[in-house]
Amino acid sequence: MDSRQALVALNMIESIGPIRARVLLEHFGDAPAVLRATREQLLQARGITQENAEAIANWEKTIDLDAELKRIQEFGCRVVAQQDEEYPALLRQICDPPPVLYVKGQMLTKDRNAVALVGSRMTTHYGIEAARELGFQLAYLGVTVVSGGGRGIDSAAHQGALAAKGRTIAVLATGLNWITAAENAKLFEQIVASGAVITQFPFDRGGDKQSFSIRNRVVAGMTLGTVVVEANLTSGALVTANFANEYGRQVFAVPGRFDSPRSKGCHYLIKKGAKLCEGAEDILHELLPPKNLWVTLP
Amino acid sequence: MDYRQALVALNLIEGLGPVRVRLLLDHFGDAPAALGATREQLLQVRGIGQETAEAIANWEKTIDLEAEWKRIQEFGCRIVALQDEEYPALLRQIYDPPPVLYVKGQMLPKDKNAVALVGSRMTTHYGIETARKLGFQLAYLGVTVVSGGARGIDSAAHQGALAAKGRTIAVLGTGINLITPPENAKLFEQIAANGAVITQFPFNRPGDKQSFPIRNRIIAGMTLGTVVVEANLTSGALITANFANEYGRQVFAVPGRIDSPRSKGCHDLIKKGAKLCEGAEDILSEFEYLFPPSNKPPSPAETGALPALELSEHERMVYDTLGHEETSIDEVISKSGLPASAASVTLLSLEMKRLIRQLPGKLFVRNQ
Repeated sequence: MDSRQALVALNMIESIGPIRARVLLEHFGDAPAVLRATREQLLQARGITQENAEAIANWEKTIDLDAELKRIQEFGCRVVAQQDEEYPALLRQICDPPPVLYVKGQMLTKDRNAVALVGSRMTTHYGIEAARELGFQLAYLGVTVVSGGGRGIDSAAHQGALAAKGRTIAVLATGLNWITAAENAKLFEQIVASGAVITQFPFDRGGDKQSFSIRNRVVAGMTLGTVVVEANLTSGALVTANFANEYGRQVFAVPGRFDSPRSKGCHYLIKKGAKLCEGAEDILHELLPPKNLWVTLP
Repeated sequence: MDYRQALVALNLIEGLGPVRVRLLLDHFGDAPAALGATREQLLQVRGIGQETAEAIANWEKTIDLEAEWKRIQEFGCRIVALQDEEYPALLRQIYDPPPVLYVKGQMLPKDKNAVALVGSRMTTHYGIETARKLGFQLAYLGVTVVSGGARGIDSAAHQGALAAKGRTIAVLGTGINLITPPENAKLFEQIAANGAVITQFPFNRPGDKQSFPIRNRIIAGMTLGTVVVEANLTSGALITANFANEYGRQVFAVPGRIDSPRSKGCHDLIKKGAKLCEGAEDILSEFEYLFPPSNKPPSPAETGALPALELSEHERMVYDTLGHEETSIDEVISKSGLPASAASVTLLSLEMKRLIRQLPGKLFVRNQ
């Protein structure tokens, strides 16, 4: 069992999140050593409870690693670990990067120039237009557009980037085989061809409140900045913005009509200090040193 | 000749602005003394050159004070001088307050709680709606709405304040007898009855590129804050916002769609640090110390509860297709699924019930 396979197994243990995984890896040196450790040895690692130790020591009984590895091959995706070069550089800098990513498609070095476009699933025509326009502009200028692959703003952002023949990455809140928005199957194919569909969750993991929030962390963590295109006051996009802020990344918000409840979340962010974003210019202006702004907007 | 008349005469001398008038008053003590001074005495004042001294010394030859005074009385307006109690307290604090104001109507002590609503003359339906709504909300809460009495946002702001039976002040960029735009004659009458129409310019002074920025100074100077409701990047409203900033007053801007050029000026202000304004709440929260708690914006529970609508099936179907954004009749027909004839009959009946409004171009919006 190589270290990558061991990481996949570790990632499949439900009670072990990114932070505990990192503690274990630091304590035992590498992933195979963690999986080989006895219950007593495991308990010596910081923050590992009886229950965790039990789950790890007995991993072979609960987890079918061979089946998972086979599915990875059959699905045509790869596993990218934190120490791999392909792992997003910005994501490695946050306090709790996921130990492995399931990747279908390709992540390139230039994808570190990534910006997240996020927003509500329920949107207005205006929000969709704005997301598509921003996605197009950013991708056209060579910025990788990262979003969640969900309905509404997410899809429009990916579509905009694809229309510009640029790069885009969808970060899922479920296992790779679990396509939440069934109507997006075609879109995912296109994203794979022009970027990647990635997730930190093993196969068959369904989406729930927790996984969406974890996904939002990855979206915020792997990008230079997060643009909230359209969000009401309870949207998960505000969670992503919060994470971005926590990780020290720039937050942008697109304004809308003052009487539209679907823009209230954006207005709230602007009042709190997010940068008002009218177009790709506003984003690049903030993220790139001016000398690199050689591009002209379409 | 009392000090008011003397100030009116000083104000009539061309080339003599607020700053130099103040220098003269500081030097000679009062306005009649300044007018009575000789050329040599005038030249001793800092900032007064040959030409200006000449103009002041010979004022009686060039200026017909009596005619102006007669016009003031006939027009039914009054002169409020810098030292009068009625003069706006906040305006007195700026470094170049106009020495006199021509006032038609009444300025009250409570008008010191004033907020300016400004914006472009050319607007969208959204801008007009917003201006009216903000004007209404502010006036309803006891804030005096100050604007420029021009077309577009200005008029809508005044109308909103009047609809709330609140107070509003129009600051003109022309002489008080020149009504620009002419269609606002009725509006100015209403404003004079519920506040005041004021100007610093003498009778018959037409509006020009210079007079409007001077007017914008007064608007920014006499208010606690300036709200730019809708403005493109070249709008004069941005000048008002600039003055407000210069005088240390808060600047607010209402956001709009990013694809609307008529909101670009507002977005630019927000990027530069203006406060994003979504309603009267955002404005008042900035001046909380000035308003007793009872003046807090009413909660949605108090105002938001609409009485249940009694609509027929068709009316309900059509009403549901409409929102606060303009919807064309074609969209109403396709969304409601009703035949065209039935849809237009139903639209009419909703209009009669004052639930919706028709806009030019067969566009419909909800009334609130």
